[in-house]
Amino acid sequence: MATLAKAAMPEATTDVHRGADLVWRALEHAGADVAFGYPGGACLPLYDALPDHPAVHHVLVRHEQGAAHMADGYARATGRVGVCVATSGPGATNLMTGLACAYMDSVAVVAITGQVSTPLMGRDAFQETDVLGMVGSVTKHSFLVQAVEDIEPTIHRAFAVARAGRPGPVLVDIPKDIQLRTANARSRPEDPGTHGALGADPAELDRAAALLAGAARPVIIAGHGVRLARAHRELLALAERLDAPVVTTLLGIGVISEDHPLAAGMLGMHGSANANRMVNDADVILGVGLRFDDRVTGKISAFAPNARIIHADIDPTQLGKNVPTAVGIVADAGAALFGLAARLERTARPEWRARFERDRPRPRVAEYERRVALPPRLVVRAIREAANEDAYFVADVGQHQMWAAQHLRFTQPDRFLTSGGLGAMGYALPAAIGAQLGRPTSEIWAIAGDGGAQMTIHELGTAVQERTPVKLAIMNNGYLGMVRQWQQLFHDGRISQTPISSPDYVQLASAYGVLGLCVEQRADLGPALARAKAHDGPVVLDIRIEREANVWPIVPPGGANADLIEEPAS
Amino acid sequence: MTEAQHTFELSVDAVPGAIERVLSVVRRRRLGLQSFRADAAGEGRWTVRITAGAVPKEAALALSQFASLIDVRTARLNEDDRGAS
Repeated sequence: MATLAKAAMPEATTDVHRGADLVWRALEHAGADVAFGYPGGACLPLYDALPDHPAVHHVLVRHEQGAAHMADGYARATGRVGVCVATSGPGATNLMTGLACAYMDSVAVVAITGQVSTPLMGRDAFQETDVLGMVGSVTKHSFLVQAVEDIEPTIHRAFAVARAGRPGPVLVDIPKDIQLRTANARSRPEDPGTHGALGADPAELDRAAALLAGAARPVIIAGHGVRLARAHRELLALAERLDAPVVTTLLGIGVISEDHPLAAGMLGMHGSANANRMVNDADVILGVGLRFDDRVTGKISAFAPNARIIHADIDPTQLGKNVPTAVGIVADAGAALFGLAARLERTARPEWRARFERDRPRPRVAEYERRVALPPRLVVRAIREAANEDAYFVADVGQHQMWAAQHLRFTQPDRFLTSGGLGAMGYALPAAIGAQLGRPTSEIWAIAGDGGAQMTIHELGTAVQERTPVKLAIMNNGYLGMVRQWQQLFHDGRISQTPISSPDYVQLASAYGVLGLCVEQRADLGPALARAKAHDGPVVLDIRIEREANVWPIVPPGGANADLIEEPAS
Repeated sequence: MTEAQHTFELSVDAVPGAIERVLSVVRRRRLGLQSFRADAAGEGRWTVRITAGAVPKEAALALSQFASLIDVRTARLNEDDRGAS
């Protein structure tokens, strides 16, 4: 009997890969477990290689704007870098809104775009756009990969840049022929770009601490930077040491539990009257991790007229940009807050505290809330009560965004996601899907208006395909409500192009295979929310809110925060 | 009356997008651009010289923003006060 010994096959020693494989390999090594994208001609090699890289779960979106918002939502909910992928030309241009949103709100996103092959670049080839030329002002940085050997180091650099300092989006444009060429793979980088916190200058901390120690009416304004630095404990320690109220920006909501006695709510255009008064009357303001944008300051010359401002931010270009600062501290928010707390004694400020308590808004029910079926803030409070305590809420842009900011009441940091700087309608549903992919065991509620919902409602298809059980609550008033409110209040009531029709959302949801519920009566709200929460799949709630409700208070455009208009008696 | 003229000198990586990013700061800070020149400086760098009639606060902010660009290696600002009637 003859035995055939199988000749030992040599182990494959070659480590040569196509550029497309190197892209996914670099993403794997950078820690990306999810990528949101849409294939196309200039990224065909990427998608050809994708099945060989199962460590990266690819989510097929319905529009590239959705991919960018999903990457953004994923990044905000997890603290990791979100990844989106698109083809050249329209794929890349469709990403732009989502990248601009991430840029304005300092969210770490890496976008990979296919580009036409290098011999075709500059020849107005099919689906060619000058992507680098377009994204310059909406990305932190961008790269054009010109050699296959550069793919891996460029992607690792992109992750490092996106995360470092003030986070932001980075785009890597890769021509198709570069994706098809081959090169040796590089070894996995030991440090894929982690950075330690930026410490503060001790001399600046000393100056700031001296100002705060001598303050009679100190206020802390906490922005998104506190959240990004995960510095809520340091914030609380300093606030308690100073006995100072903490007001937040829209994106800072949740950095201090809204149940805490020193939490004074949101300031600015739709902030609470108390928060705006505290800032107006403060003698020293510590602003941490914010840029003092116009929605926060109102009329800049009238902002905090009695205060000396200490501004701490990780981005040195923000200091002195919008408000004059007495002391500027370039540092990670955690380092700045910790350094200040270490320099200050615990000091009680009973008069200031009493004033704060006296003016704290008391919950009240306006007369019209008894009269109408579904007043918006009642709906928001009902959603809050129906949801888990640690649920994530993703608000779109408009009136409902402000009602959500005012009435959801967050006791945990990082639970409120919204497009603050860019104000991109259509953000909520895709960002909620991204958040759900990053936090698969968490409850995710998207709150949108009927205008914003219709901008990206097609991403219900993605939610179904990915089995993400997001709950989309559409606060449907038949208007582009915030614009209608401004037309009513500031344009002599000339209502122009703001009434908007909607499809039958229940039928639309059904067409996608999604549970759809319509709520028209107050009595139906609780049961509908309970059913949505219990449903193991995506849900669309069409909630017919009071049609012409306004957001109060409001600082008139161009006005000072002290001139805010409170809710008229009804 | 004095009109300030500012000259920025930047050492910039010679990579795609770098000049666009520098110009973006010029535009967004409304620097009052008078001249813009980029010369190859060897070792994969450009030397960019920008002359602008910016107000001092904007010039200082622009310098900070130039310096924060990832492919800007060094950024320097020279202020040349010119007497003007």
